[in-house]
Amino acid sequence: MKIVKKEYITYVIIIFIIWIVIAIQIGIVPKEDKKDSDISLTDVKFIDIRKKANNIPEDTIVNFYYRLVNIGDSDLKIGYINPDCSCTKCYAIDSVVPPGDSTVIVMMFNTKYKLGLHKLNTVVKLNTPTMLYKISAMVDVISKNIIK
Amino acid sequence: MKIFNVFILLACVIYSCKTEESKRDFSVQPFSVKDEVVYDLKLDTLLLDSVPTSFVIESDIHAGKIFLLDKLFCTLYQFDSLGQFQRRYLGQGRAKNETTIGRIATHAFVGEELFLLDHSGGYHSYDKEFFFKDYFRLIYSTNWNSNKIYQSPMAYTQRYNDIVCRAFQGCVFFNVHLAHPRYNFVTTMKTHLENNANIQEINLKKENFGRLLAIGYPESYESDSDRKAVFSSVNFDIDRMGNFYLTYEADTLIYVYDKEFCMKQCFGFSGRDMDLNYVSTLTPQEVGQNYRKERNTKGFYNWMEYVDETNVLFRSYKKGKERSSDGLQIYQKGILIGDVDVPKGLKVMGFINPYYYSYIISDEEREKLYLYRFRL
Repeated sequence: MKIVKKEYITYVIIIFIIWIVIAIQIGIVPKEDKKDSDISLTDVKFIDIRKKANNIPEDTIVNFYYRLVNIGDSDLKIGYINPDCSCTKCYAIDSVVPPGDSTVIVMMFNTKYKLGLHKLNTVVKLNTPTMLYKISAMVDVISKNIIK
Repeated sequence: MKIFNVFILLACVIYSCKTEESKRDFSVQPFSVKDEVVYDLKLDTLLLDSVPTSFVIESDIHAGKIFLLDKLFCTLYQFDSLGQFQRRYLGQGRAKNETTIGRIATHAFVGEELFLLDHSGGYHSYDKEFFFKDYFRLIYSTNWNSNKIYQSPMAYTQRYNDIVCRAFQGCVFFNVHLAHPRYNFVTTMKTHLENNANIQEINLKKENFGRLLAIGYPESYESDSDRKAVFSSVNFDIDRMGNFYLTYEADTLIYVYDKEFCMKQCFGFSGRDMDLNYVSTLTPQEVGQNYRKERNTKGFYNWMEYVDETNVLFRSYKKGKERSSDGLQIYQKGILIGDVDVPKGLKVMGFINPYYYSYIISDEEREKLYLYRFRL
């Protein structure tokens, strides 16, 4: 009887542990919130947040570079980078930036079917008190025929 | 017999107005009267308290407060009538008082509630405390009959670049255009001028498409049509009785329709000193190429606001890049009482007694948010 009881208890404990793990995985305590509350806040300085480019030919990819410096005391962590157009791809060279260091966010704009004047906005989430930042580019795309 | 015929005629008229399928209606002749008593506006500039913002914003007046909606950061700020910050709502997140929308397209206050449109056909509703209430998405099927494309609600899309969103009795109304490469202003011009719907109704309670309204274009679009493709949208407002006040961007007149979208009135005077030297665009590609530049440099009618509290109608117009100001026309009961110069970008937002307020203007370069207010 004792042996049976021990096994029973063991099974119950194992099932309980598995349940806890599953509960965490499916977000009873959302991972993102947990991460946000664990991350220390820091401070950031963007060297520039607005770029401009004129006479960019159609059917090309133009890159913009936005440098940001961690001027705080904790690691700067890039939460997300969200462009407002599917024609734009963005990424950061480093997703974690130590204090005093800097990184670059690259914005790649594909000018295919994009003749005319465009304003591209991208929202960046960082672990700072301000949290959300917008970087933008104004691009004037001209026809390849005009360049020829 | 005569009475019987009159009765039949009346029944036909009423039926034609009430039918779900709206038709082009510019039946009322214009009758425009001027009685100018307003020659100048004394504007106060109100600087709003600084808040974190992307400067991609919309604003509104609701319950006597000024609201600023940040469309990229998805945050709603409340200010008092002096521009002092009071409260912050929403923000991105999964909590009931937050929003999961990544980027807001536009908004409207629907009674006490807030409606937000996202960029993927998603309709989000929030209650009067700005807690999440409801969400649905309209599915746009492409399985339509090409002979009836102009009558198919699913063939239309909102004009996201210059969107107008109004609400009335649980429905929201947008300025729209046909989203089909083969059917558009330049490719199928004659058909388009006759059949294109410019306003779409969405029923938030039924979570479905409503009526297609403002069918076709007025006569003025039939001349120099190729120069007006870039200015083919409408601006409109709806008063508390459900009457629509409509202006086409390249047309002088204002059209008034009732709740059933039967035409009631037509009036209007052209704006002053507008640069109407539009460029000709003969292909959809040329329209795309010239769209932003033309709209940034030429004159056109760019907003309509009916103030229920005072029964005054404001129509804003851009004069053009080379001009030093924009224009604002003021109508009361269809009579023009003023056509004044205003700072560029000024569009009337609403009324908090005793002032009229402009929409909030975002100056990204100087990192400022401000608006104008005035009295008549």
